[in-house]
Amino acid sequence: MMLSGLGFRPPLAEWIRSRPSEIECLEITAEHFFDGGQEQLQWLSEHYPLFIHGLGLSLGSPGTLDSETLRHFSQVVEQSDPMWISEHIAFTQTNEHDLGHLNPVRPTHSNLITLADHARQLSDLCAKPLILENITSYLRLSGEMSEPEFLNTLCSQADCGLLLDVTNLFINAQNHQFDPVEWLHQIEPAVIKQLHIVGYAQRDGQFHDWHDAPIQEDLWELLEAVLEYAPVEACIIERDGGFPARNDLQKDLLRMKDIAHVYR
Amino acid sequence: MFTDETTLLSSLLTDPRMREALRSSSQTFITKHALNDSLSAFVLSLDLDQLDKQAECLIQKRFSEVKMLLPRTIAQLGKEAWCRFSEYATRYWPRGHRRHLLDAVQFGNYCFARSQPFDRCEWSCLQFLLGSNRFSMQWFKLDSPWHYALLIQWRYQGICYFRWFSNQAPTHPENHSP
Repeated sequence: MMLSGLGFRPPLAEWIRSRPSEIECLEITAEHFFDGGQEQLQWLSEHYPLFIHGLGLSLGSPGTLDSETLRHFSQVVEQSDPMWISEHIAFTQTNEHDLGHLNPVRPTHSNLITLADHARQLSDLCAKPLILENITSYLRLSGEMSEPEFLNTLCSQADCGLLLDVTNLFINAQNHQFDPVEWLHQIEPAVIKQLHIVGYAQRDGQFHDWHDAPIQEDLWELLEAVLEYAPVEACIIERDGGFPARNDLQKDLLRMKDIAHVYR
Repeated sequence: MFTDETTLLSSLLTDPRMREALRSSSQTFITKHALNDSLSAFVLSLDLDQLDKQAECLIQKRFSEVKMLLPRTIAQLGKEAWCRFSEYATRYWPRGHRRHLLDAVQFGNYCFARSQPFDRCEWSCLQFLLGSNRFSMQWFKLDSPWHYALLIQWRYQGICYFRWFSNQAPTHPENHSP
């Protein structure tokens, strides 16, 4: 059975606290609880299966992981006892700069070693299974292997799963002109453990991941293709803006559950 | 001196002058930064339009976060908001998990220093969020001599609460989560 749920965001807190039946699980952004909110986190962990999601560990940066961020992240994990944890296949900072958002790493053997080492370190520290997420990027970096080959090898070497962001895959496919289903079929299906999905935006002839729209029809089609292909355990709608979005989210969650019943 | 691709890419993404230099002459860029063969090949393989787009996206994402934290300041800046923010943003890259708050506070400072429209009240809310005080009470003079507002802020179990009393319509959020 696949769990359907939401990324927890403060504007949705009241609705989530009312325990609506369409929300079966929640994804918590670890950084939102680095400075407090433990009571809220405890309540959430008592009432929903949780996944803890990281944004700023920068697993793709060479060198050591930031010890403060690691400490905060593992505290949130300890307080919430999630089913698993997740981070991105990306870098967000170097010693000189914190870029604040996700940037691509080149699919090379050297980056594979960096990411796998950091992933194992994070998973060991938190004593939880780890899954890694594909990002969207306007910058396409070619390397020593294809992106799917890189992801399969990374999951195998780091002993982790894949958090497949369906929207990111769709946006990259549109902006860089490749077939998302063909890409998907190059990924080892067993590694795809969780999904992210949210509506995309379109401006100036490009697709964007602004996380503020209901899920569009072409994304539902891609979601179905993924569910037909891989034994996904959870799917999270990752809405960050365009609130209040309760009606959109309710509709999207119900549709997601209907699709999940067909394939899972 | 760059020793790895990630640090080099990070510098290119944060510094528009470096991207301009690379665009105007990749060979001069390689020589100036004494790039080894591997980093030279990496730089030559970059699609410079995509690189610019990715760099702009980083600033846009910061802007959208700051817009949520400083809605009145951004509204007061109007059409100038994006210009002012992109001008500011390439000079300062906040670090850590409170970077959006730091960014908004710094952008407020930037506007204030340049006599740009700037909402002191919402800026004070962010200062409170960044700090560790449990309680704060401030009076603000609004847009006319007979308009005043009282802002009360307190922190309880890691969540900051705001109450705003004025003889104008309330425009501030009632609470912020951590």
